[in-house]
Amino acid sequence: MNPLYVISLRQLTGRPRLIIIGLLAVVPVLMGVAVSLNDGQSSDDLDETLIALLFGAAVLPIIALTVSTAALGNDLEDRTLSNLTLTPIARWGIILPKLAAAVTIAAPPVLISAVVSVSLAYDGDSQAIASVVIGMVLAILAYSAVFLWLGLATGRALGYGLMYIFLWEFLFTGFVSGVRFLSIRAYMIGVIRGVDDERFAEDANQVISLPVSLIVLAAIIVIFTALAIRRLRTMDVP
Amino acid sequence: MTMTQSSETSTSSGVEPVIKVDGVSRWFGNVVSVSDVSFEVYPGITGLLGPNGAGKTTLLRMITGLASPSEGTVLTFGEPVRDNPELYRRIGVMSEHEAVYNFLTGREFVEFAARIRGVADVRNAAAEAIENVGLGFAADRKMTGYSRGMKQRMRLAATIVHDPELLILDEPLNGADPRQRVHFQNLLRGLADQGRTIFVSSHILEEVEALADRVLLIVNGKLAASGDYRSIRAALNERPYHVRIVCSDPRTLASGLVKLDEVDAVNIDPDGALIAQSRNVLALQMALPKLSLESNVRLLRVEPLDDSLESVFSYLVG
Repeated sequence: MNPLYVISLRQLTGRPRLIIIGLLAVVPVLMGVAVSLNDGQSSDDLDETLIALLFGAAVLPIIALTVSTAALGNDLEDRTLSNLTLTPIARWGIILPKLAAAVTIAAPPVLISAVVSVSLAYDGDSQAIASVVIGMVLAILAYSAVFLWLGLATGRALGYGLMYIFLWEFLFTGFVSGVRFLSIRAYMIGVIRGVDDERFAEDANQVISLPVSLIVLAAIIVIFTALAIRRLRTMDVP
Repeated sequence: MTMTQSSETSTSSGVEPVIKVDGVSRWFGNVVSVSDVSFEVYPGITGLLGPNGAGKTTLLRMITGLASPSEGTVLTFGEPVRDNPELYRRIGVMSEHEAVYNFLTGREFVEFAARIRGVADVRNAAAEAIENVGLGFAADRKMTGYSRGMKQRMRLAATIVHDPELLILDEPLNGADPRQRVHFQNLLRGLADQGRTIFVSSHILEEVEALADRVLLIVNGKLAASGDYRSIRAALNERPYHVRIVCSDPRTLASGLVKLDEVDAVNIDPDGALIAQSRNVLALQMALPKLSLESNVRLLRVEPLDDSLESVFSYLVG
């Protein structure tokens, strides 16, 4: 196995970070339990509150932020990045294992939480579970690529990332219809809607199509990974 | 004052330099950290010496490719090192910082270094490197429990694990105790004797004096001198030397000293010791006991104040 991937996994599994991730992942499950005990909530409300808001604008990006900014941010902070750059490894050979490690740590709690909470809320609807898992895997990859680059670009990645999540993904694009398509969350919803057309049925006209969502999410992943590689090639390593 | 007493020409004769620094400057905003520095490094041990803040680390960071020069070029083995990862197969770099993964054991750390450098026999290469730095007894302990000196030595093991032709070491003896220093110096000498190039920075004079065949002196971001340490000193003979003399009657001895041709000036420091300034310290050394006897003054202590590179720094900074 790639040694850089292995050591990155060990770097990212510090106890405080895992506790934060675990606590965040429990919140949607609690909501799923509450919904399953209360039959009165419509499917459209659930789509909006559980998937779009709780997962898409909070739990998923925050977990991705917590892990991905640390994937290279920790190396910058403790000055171990030079241990990696002063080697024959090409810069993409550093960035890709770091991204893979970040996704490996961030994805399981998000997906387990999503499967459990969606199962509870949607009475075990397998298509709903599948669509949410596919949409969230792609969203985790996209957020991770963005935040990995951010962690390399600034020492205040966590702060800037939180501002981005709450101000842009949660507030601005959530309430200003003209810009809602400029958020990763909107494309995650597009994928979910594309796989399961019962999800977000009420907003069907505003939801982005599956092909466009897939292309844009893939583009975000590729572009921000390339930016991180470029940044690592040109920056002064402390 | 800036002087360059180039010893490179004597060592270069037809051999390509391992490191070639040409007109390199680096500035941060309005602050110039390194200014128009040029030199070449050949096999053997070369010391980069200068007081703290002189620009040594910035210069080393540019030579290792961690930072880019604002101006000028750096070539290692004839190639630019920046954004040239393949070159690191031939280079081992130990940075100034204590950059280790504390959750790893020493052996895991060195084996990791070997793996990412593409070493074929990772286990044996790591074991050999660890033995070379004398840390076999602690290799399976987590590095978080290591002393600073032990971390430095384990980092050196990780630096030499791929058997590089060029070693660049930034303040490698920081935190090492005297026994470790001797071990470290012997190890580096052994590596240099095998034909490797070792470029080592330090602000500690004795380290470089004891280690380096050649010295580059950097002061205020500029190359102040380069060459053999002793030849630099010889070239500085024009400067006055200072000798501190502690005696039973400073005033009487001072009145005798000022009459000597060998002495340019005499001062009494706040502790009551005499500071004699001379351009012919050997003659002063001969004359002083005679004068002491004639003046009936007992000499308690006589010591040169500037028989070290620190004094050279001070003189060059001026």
